[in-house]
Amino acid sequence: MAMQTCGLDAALTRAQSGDEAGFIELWRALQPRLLRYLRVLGCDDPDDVASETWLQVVRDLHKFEGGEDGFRRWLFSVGRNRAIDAARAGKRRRVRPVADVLERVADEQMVEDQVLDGMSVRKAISLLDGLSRDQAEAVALRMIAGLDTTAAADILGKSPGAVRVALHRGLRALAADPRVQALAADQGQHGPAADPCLLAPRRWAR
Amino acid sequence: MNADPPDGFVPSDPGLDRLLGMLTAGPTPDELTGESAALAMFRANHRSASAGPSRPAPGFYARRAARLAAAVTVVLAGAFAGAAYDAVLPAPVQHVAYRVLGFAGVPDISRSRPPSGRPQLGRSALPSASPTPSPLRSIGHTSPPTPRPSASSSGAAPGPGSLTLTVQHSQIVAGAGEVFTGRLTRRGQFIRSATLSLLERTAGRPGWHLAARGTTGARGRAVLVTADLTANAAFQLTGPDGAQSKPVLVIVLPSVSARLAVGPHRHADVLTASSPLADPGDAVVLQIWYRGAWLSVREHRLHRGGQAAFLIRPRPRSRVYRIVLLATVTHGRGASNPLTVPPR
Repeated sequence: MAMQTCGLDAALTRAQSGDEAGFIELWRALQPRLLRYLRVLGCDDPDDVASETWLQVVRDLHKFEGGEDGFRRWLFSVGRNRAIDAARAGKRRRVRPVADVLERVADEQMVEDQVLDGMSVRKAISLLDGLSRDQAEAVALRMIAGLDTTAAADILGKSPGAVRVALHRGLRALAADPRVQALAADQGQHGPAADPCLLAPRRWAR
Repeated sequence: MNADPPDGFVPSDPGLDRLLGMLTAGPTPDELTGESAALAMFRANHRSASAGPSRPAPGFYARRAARLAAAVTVVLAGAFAGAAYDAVLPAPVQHVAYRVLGFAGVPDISRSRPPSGRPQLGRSALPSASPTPSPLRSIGHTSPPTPRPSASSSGAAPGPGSLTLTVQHSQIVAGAGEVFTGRLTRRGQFIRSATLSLLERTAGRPGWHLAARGTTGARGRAVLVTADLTANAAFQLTGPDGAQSKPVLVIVLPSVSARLAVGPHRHADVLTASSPLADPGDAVVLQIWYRGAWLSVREHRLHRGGQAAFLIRPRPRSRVYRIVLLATVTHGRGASNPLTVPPR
């Protein structure tokens, strides 16, 4: 199942009016992306930083004006700031609270499938380790977060051109990585499907 | 210098496509574990926001609305504080409560869970070779009751209650035990004296089986313990009237040891990796500590006895090695202690 984030405008509006279902729809669509982005940033405790991010977002949600794209930009901007704060504070990995470490599994799925899913995503994120910070962030914001270049540039404090170059170089470097090339051999076996919202038209559109 | 590429330009490559597919794959279960906590946070925030005097009415009605809002705020704050003192709030909310009310004795999440009276787990130095965790014991929660009205007897009201299951650690050392906490409520009230069954489904084995059983205490809570977990497993709690919790996954981390046998003069040393709980064919990687990071050097498969041997060439400088057992569907990743190979 690929992550679906298309059409979150209605959910955002409902969440702003206090509708829990709307908020959960937003959270389910964006929390996995946020966690993956924070992992790319090298957060010691991405779950903790993500919780702090949502805490701020929930608190200020009624003040937010804009649609899905703006909300996504805001969420990842807050997440990045929280991650920087956490790194500056020199937070050490603490004992994680019970509720945060729960790894829930769907009733119908076998334990093996759950483990494989998690390993697959973590492995993919670890492959970005070889990129420079700018390249990794550009790839993460564009491909994982699904932001457009202007929004990514805004968050990174760079020009859109610089982000495009970093993204291009990062993807070229990844394509040349033997570990990434080895992934092609597994293509079509049991890999997860890509998010259609990112592949077209958002990812490729100018 | 490269020309500025167009916004949507992405190199076409099968491996890259596959990587991007993995990065944008559907959510994994552990990525959605905080949903209930996030929802609780949203509810708490929305309540406090809506309880405030945001829309003043004219004259008498304005004062009356303000008084009503203040009363609601006080009641909500009281309920919130009561829940915080009892440490029954979701973890992030409890943590926020601790930040605000910590001076007054509200516990933080790390201190509030698990309960102070929980049993200490025995952890054997040598993990059992048994592939299946065995149930050890179950213990009813014995925390002292508080003056707040709460419990009703089990089975008094029809229909399944709400059953939650929390686990002390999501990853444990192989052979260790795990502590689970179940809480049964119905219509907002704690259900005591109800029997809860902890079911387990081990990776590589079909079907669920009973791992432990316990009885809820005054606050609807039961603490259940399993021991000797040696493979990844899902756990689920069942209660009276068909109540079921969502399953939780526990990852088991096998122990890995490395032993060095110094070879004869100018002959290679032998570094033997051993992981009794891993399966034959599991991959182990020899890593060397180099410039502040572990670098993977070679990979071998474990033999039938759970061992694999790496030949180490004699070096004029000492080197630090370790063995990493790669994760599989039945166990997590394990690493040996670093081992210094002296110069020769």
